[in-house]
Amino acid sequence: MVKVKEFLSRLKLCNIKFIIIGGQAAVLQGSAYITADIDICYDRDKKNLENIVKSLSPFHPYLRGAPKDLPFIFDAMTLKKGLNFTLSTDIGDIDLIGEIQGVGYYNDALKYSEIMEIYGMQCHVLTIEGLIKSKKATGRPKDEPVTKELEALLEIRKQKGKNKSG
Amino acid sequence: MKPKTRHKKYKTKNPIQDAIEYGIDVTLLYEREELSPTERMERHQQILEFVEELRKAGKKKHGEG
Repeated sequence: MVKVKEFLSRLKLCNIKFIIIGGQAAVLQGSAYITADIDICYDRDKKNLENIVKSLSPFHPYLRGAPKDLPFIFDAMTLKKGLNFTLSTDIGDIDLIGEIQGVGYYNDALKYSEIMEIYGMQCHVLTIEGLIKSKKATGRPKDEPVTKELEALLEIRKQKGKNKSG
Repeated sequence: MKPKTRHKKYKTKNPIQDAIEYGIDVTLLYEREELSPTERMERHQQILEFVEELRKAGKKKHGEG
């Protein structure tokens, strides 16, 4: 189980440019979905890659599910050469996503994000619309229930808005 | 008779009705609408801890299998 508060504090401390996406974003948006990991979309500029390495290295990131003897160096060069990384760390499973299917890279995803206060920290979180767009683009059967929830949530918010203005 | 499948495409004009027909408990969504993002996260962590405890108990009783 990922230690979300510790993870976000660490990212903030190191000035990482990131957006919370995936299951945890759905939870923050009000979904009842249960997920054990956290996914973030990260900016791929050089400084950000270096900061990510600095922030996560103390938690010994390793490729999730890879054989223990597989050589893996967690540095800016590795991040630059790859795009999406599924990592196991001392504070839980963390996915670093360079490109979100159906949405795009960090700068595209920013347009589908909103700022939320989480444990006193201001964090970018993918919007319900952004989450639906990405879930529909991946088309995985396991995402169908959460997509249904997100569409219902969107409607609940619309109705709440109507009630407030009416 | 053709068996009902979980992935049947429900489509009405109302996404809330769609979710209900799909099997989603929408009362949970209304409940979470009243919470702040941090409260939603904490609720999620509590449920996850409970699920992990259940998993551990299951493993203890039935072995690692």
